[in-house]
Amino acid sequence: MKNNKLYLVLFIIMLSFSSCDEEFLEHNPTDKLAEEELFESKLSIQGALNGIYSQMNVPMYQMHVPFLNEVRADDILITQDSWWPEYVEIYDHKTQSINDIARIVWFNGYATIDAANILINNPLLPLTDIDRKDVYAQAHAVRAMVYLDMVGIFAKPVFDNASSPGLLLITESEHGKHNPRVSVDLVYKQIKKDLDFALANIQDESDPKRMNKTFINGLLARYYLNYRDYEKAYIHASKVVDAVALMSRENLRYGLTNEPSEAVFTVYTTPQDYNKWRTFASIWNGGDNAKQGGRVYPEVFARFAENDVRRTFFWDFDNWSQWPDWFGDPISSSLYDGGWTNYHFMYGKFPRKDFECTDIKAYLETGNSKYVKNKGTVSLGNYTYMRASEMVLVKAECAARNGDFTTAQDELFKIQSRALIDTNNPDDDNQTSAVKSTKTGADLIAEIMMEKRKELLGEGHRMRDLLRLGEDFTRPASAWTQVKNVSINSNYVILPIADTEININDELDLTDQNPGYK
Amino acid sequence: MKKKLNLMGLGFNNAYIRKMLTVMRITVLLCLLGVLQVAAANTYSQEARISLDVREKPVSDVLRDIEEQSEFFFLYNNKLIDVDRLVDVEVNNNTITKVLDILFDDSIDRKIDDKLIVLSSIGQKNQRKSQNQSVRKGIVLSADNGLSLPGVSVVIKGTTIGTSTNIDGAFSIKANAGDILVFSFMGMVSQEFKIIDNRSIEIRLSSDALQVDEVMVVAYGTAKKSTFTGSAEVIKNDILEKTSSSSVVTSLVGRVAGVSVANSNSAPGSFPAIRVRGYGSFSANSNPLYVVDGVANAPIPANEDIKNLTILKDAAAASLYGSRAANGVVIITTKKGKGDIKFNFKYSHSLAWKSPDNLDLMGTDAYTKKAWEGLYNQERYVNNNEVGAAQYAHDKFVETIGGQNPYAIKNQDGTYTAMAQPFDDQGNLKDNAVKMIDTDWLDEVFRTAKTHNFHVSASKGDENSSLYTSLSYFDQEGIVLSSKYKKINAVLNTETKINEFLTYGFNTNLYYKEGRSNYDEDDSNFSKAYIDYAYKYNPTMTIYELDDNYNVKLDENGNKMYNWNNAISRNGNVFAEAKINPDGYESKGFYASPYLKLSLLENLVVDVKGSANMKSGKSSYFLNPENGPGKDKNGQAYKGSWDSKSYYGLIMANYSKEFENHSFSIKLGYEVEDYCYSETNAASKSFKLWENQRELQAGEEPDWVSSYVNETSKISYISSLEYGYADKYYLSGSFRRDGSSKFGPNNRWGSFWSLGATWRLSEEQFIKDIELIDNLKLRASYGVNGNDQIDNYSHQGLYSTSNTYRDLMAIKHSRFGNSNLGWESNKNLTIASEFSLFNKFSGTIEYYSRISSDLLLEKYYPVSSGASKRYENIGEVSNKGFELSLNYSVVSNEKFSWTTGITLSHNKNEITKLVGGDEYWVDGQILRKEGGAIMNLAMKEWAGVDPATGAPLWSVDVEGVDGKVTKETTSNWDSATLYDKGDPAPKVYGAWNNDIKYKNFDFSFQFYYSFGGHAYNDMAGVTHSDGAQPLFNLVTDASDSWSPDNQNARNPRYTTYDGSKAWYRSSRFYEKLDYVKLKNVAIGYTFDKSFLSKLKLSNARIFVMGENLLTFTDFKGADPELGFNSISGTSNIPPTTSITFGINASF
Repeated sequence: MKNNKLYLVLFIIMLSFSSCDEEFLEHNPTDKLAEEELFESKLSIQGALNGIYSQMNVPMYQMHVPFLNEVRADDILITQDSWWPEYVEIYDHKTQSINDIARIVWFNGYATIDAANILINNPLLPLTDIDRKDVYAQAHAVRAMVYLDMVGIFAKPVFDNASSPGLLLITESEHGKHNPRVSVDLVYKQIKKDLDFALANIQDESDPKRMNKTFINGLLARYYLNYRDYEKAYIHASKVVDAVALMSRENLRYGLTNEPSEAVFTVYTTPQDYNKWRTFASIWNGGDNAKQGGRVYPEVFARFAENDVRRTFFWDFDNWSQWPDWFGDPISSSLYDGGWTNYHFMYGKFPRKDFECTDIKAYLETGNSKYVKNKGTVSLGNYTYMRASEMVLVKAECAARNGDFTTAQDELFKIQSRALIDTNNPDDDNQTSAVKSTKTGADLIAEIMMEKRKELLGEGHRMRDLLRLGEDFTRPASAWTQVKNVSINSNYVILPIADTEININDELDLTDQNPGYK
Repeated sequence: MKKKLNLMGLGFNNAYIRKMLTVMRITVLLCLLGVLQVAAANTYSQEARISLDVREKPVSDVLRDIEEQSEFFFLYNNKLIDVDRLVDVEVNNNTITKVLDILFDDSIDRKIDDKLIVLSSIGQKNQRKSQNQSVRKGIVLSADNGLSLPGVSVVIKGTTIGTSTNIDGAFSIKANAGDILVFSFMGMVSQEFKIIDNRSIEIRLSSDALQVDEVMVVAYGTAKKSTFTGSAEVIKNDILEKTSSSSVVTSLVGRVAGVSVANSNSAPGSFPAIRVRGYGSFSANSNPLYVVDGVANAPIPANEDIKNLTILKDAAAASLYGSRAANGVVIITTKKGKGDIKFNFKYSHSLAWKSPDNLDLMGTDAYTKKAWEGLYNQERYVNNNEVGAAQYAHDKFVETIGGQNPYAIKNQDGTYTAMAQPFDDQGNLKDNAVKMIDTDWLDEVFRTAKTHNFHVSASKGDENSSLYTSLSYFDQEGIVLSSKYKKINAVLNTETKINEFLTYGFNTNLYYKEGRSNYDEDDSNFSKAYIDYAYKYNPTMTIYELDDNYNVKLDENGNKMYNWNNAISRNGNVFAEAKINPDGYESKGFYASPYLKLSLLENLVVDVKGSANMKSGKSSYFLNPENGPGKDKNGQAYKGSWDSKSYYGLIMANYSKEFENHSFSIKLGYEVEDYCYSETNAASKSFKLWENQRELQAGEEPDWVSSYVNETSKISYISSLEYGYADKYYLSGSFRRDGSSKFGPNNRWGSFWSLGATWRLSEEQFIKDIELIDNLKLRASYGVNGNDQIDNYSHQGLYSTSNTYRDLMAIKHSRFGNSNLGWESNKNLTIASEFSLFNKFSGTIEYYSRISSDLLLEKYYPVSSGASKRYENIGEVSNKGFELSLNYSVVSNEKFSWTTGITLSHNKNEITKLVGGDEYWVDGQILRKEGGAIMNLAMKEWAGVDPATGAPLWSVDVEGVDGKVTKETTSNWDSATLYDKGDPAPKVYGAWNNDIKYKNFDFSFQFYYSFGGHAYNDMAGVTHSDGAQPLFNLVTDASDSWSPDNQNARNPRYTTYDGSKAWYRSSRFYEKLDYVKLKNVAIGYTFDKSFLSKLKLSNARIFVMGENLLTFTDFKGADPELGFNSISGTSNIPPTTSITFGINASF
């Protein structure tokens, strides 16, 4: 009897000892996918593809890439009250290798490249051949786009620095790997390879919500511009111009944050994925305090003619004071003392995405809040990374540089005629008082470049042009501008490689850091 | 015990007695109380000499004569043995064997077991004894004070027959000779008495507490303190009764050397921070493992339900808990039913308030004077406009302090008008300025808080069953406005002995709690800012809106209108937010743990135990759309709910055997654990009908949603062996193998083991001869235990699905996996000595070394690879130190006793290895590197104020042309050098404890001390902004700032919008953390039994106690305990001073 009990217990013990321990110790999270699950279905692959776009979104392209191209250049200024002191350092040429912006761009750029590499390096078995090629093409296009922008932020221009240090060139997907820095030349070769592959395999013609054939042509145009190969740049820019029509003047008034009809590629925000102060729109429309955003020099504002529709995008003190709950109390702002009225910001060009108004024209002209139906959500706005106007002006520039002044004048006139309201018929958006340029040679090129600065002001293009043209520049004087004359060869024009990368990466040491940064 | 086992070993065969003894053995084993008296050596029967000279006397009388002149006692059945037979006996100095030979022939079997002599009739051994009841009388006294004990339960063992003592402690009961009487009384150690004859019985019961010193609950069992090879301390219930906190951890303060406890945040219901022998891991969690009645992480019951706590500190003690024992183990034993039905009732009421501190904030006059001075200095020195500086300050004054002018002029009609220029050109307040506003924000946000604590319990028990049930209600207000905590807890513990082989029991716990606070386990929302802002708001900011005449504005309903125009927290008002925004949490839990004890063979006990711990909770808040932080979202509602289930199972075989001088005990076990936690959270925004419609769908837009499930499991194989020889030498060993789901398949299993040895020198003859030494023991142990406290799924490469792009699901890489991830291990060495001298003085001194290796650390990888870090087993940390605890019994008699004791601990923490000599920064404050401590602080070094300019100075290392580094000063914070400030942990800490009893009074007090520590005082930085934050209030120390007339000031020039960064992190605010606290005082009065019996009470005590009554420190933060983690933040609620009154009664 007693022994029976003993055996029973021993039996229970044996049973428990022999249970499937390993299985019992295996758990998978319910809110995450394991590596092996990622490529199991079409849907998860589509999710991973969306992941690339999501990765490039906030804060990379929704913030830093465009803003860096403005802050480093000569059209806009930021004050010491800026919401991100690291930007002030970049603006003031006091950047250090611990600069957070440099780290964030480095990190997010490579995170986007990694997201693309994960797809590129997987057989994607659940997909059909056509779909698979399209996914690969999108991933290659994103990779090329990110490399092209990063090489412009962290390395010297390619046209006369091809052998200088470029980026870490990563095309495999191997987390934790230490990669060396390769020359600018090699990075450009990879960009070209990726763009060629993407152009050959991409399925979509011109949907600005995703990588598309037209956009890849636009990237190729920028690519060739960097090599100063204006003939090839002309060809690709023309393809974009042919594929996407310019938007009308009337549509232009609604600003750029809602995927304008001429968008070639747009980076989206939704309420789910923006963070306050961390989107491109927030630079211009503030939310708490406008003194922390970006604005333009009076000299830049003065370039716009009275009848230029783009002039109504600017808000001055009078507009601002109507919106104390948007922009803070203007009187108490330190900017007021510094002569705020001379410094404009461009709320109208980058309104909040869900902003609604009853009469956009009247509103832009008066700034009167009585026209506003819904003031919209702070920081919410899409950023159009490339639109047809840029390519029209690129086409014009290339034509001018190639000696085809007629084409250049025609293309330039497209932009100018849209911008300039007919002073005699101000209510007719189809009329213009613009006169087609008759300039030729260097004068024409200068006019085109100036028109480009005006048209694309604040959209994050200016530094690309300064770099590829190797132009020194001068910032207008202001109380907040400490660095006025900038040599394009200045160390501070390009950003330091993130100190964390240099410290941790075994393939890099301090000699791999950009000059001037330690 | 040993004696009785030997009795069985000798083949004594009376089934009844044998069963009785077996039952006793099991009871004793299972009750884990070690009632056994250690018998003297088995030589009495050989040594004792009997002399008799009787004629014609009954055998029974002769036996009684023998009992009277010797220590022998006889056990026999007079129905079976003819003891009425008349005999003649004449012996002189003969042995008992000889005497028995004379008295009995061979038909009577006599077994002599030392002093017990059992007589039985051969051939009738198996017959039951017939009834021969007679009335036995006796008295029960307290062994502590000799007073009689009324109400003691007296039960005949193995029956339900029983009685209890009367008011004089006397009892009478009908019982047989040979029956065993069990005397039990709550709080006392039960005693058994075997009836031999009709002589009056006197029993002395000693209090439970004394007994606990002897036998401790340790890992998966019990151990005698005297022989234990590990390092463990016991905290008895009476210590618990002397703290008012809801948390059991508080009772550990200063009582156990090597354990540091601090209230680094005193939100209601919060748990103090605790650390055993220093930081052993980089992971934030240095908390010990809590084991309640043998189940890890079971709900911790109310203090009143706890019988005692054991802290296991070293490997020999804790390694049997293997994987979770790295930071020590706290074993909690709850109360069990004992004796007759007994009810206990306790009520206490506390008042608590913010402890007085050295943080003296400015009022309006001092603050505004600084504000004016700042403006003046700004214009004069920054803008180089000395002439216009005073006018500038006049003009900007009101705007700079936040927009409300606190000064007015009294008009002739009695009204007030804001004063345009309250200061003269020298910055002095004008005589006719009337101060209209002077808000003490700390005073408004902190309050005196009340706590009610009810506890009622009922208990009953005999050797076959026990029952303990209790209900407690704890209702605490926080000292911060609107914070609160309520908990209802019910406990039911029962145990039934089904038969001699099987005992069944279960422990249950039910709770419900609710509250509002900032750091409770269930509540993690924004409200912590309440405190933070209360320190920052300056005194000219008002809670309510004021009209032009400085009267509080009223709304249409006559209510005061809150002022939401607060320049510091935009649209905020911490007072109003606390009052009007609902916010809170609730949770409930059900816990049940059934168990079986199977006594299979004489020496083999198998424990089977399971438990289920179910908890769920929810939390919510609502931010109103009109003011405060909810304004941006037009109102926001949040609801979250969570649910956790954990299951636990243990089967453990325990075999023990003793023979001659050897004792063995072997344990083998298997343990399994599964834990599953899930959470769902959602928020919506844009509320219109917010005043009464606050459910999520009342918001016009969804804000965010999230949900997840977290599951972990663990399997362990456990074994241990203990061996003792001759009560002198003890060896113990344990081995355990743990598998944890937190690690990858390659390294999931870890082996943990320990070896320990004890040598009781005081049992050696050469020490025994030294009278002054009562006890002397040396012990040493070495062993390895582990830690798996990292995030779940850390070994897996994972992709997150929580992102969207254009409202489509977007999958992103989220974790870089490491399939080789494995256990962090702790190697512990302890060498200790325990001693007791003159019966008065006792102590323990321990040295330990604890090396934590294979630390679970995030190793950094190039971010360019798409993954920046992952957990790996790298790095090593050592903690070495010593612990001293001394106790001295100053007086000890029935009327007056006084015990005093000190504890002292010293620990040195060092990171001995980091991968590749890397440095890790934690929050930009803590620098971790080889040779430094885990909490090593690094910061810029303050070099004072430049007497010429009033600029702040910091040290900077400058490398000369020759490569030599010299230390210079700079006024540029950015270029100042970061200096390693070393380990801020205290060099020594401990306490001086005193327990005094005089007649019916008991009195205890404790001073806690900590020396040699440092902390970075964040609060000092915030309140010394030097004008950089002109809206922030200042401490009075800030008034001593540089001016041309005060060039040697402590603080730099006060300048509005100061850009010098003087208030940034530097050693300017790195302070010494030496302190002494009168931590605890308790006074109690226990009523006389004679008085209580009239009230039908068996026991009653009233008490008053105080906590944190006095603090002696130079630390300038809100409380030195906030510096426990070396950084004293601005949002933690400081420890409170409290006074508690209460009564505890039993009937």
